[in-house]
Amino acid sequence: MTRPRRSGSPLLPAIAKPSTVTAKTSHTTVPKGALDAIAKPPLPARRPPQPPKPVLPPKRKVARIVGDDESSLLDLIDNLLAKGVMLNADLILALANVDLVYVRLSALLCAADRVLGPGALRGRGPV
Amino acid sequence: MAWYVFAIVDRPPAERPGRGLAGALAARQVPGGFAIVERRADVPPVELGALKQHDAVLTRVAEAVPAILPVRFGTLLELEEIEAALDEREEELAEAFDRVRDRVQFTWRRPGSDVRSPASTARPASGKEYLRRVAHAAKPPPAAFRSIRETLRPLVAAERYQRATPSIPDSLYHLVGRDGAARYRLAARKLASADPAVRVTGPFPPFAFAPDLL
Repeated sequence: MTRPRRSGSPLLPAIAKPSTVTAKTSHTTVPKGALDAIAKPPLPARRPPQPPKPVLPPKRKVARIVGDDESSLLDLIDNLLAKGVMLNADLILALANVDLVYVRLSALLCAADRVLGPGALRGRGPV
Repeated sequence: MAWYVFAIVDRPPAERPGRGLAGALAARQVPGGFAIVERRADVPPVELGALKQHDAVLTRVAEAVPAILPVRFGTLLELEEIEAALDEREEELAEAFDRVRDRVQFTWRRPGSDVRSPASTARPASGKEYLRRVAHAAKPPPAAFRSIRETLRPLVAAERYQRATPSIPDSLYHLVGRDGAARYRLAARKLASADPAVRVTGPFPPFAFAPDLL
């Protein structure tokens, strides 16, 4: 008589005897509930890691901008450079240590529409 | 040595004007007003430190005089040249002083506004394109500034709008009386906090309302 081959252990030879070990059981002599008094409180459930909080602008930001003594860089550029910059230079052309020509240069670097104005530009454009 | 000019004012400051970029400031009488000047041999470099110093001088002088007309950065002239430039322009100067007297400037900006592409600054290829550009440039302030203009109108003495350029966003300049500046500031705070798309700065000397004098 042949025993049926167990499907759960394909590596065991067909002649192996079935185990006599019983299924895992819990066994204790401590009365139920006796450990509850000294047991540590359960750990709080772990929260998933939160993304870092975005850095909110300070609430007084608007007030700070309005009342700030120090203007922003943009204001500085707009206020001081919007109308262009004057450049001055002295140029001396010399030959053999003899100054021959003196040129005084005074230049205005600026966007054309800031100096000429829309009216002047209007008159210059093609029609 | 020439004079480095910061501004033209209607009256000299009651007290000594203090220091300029490197030396003492002086108020020299010129046709139509007084020039706030400093002896200098050369033009200061266009760098952040010099710009901040220049701005600080103007702010200080503006607080000490009734009317100030800031002059272009880097204006270095002989006194005769200043006088020649302002000669026979007393009326123009007086009008400009009247406009800015006891007033300060607030500036509204709308970052991210449409900027004309660099290509559009090239010479227009046709008359049609030129007219289209002129019409575009002459557009009124955008709707984003509408509520600001309407709310603050009672406090505003003059207004100027500047379309966005590659370096400066859409800007709206308000000229406000010094006595109304605190109320303007309060109202501006409310408006700016209600609309994060716009920002307001000030008060400044009236840079945007000063004519080109020198």
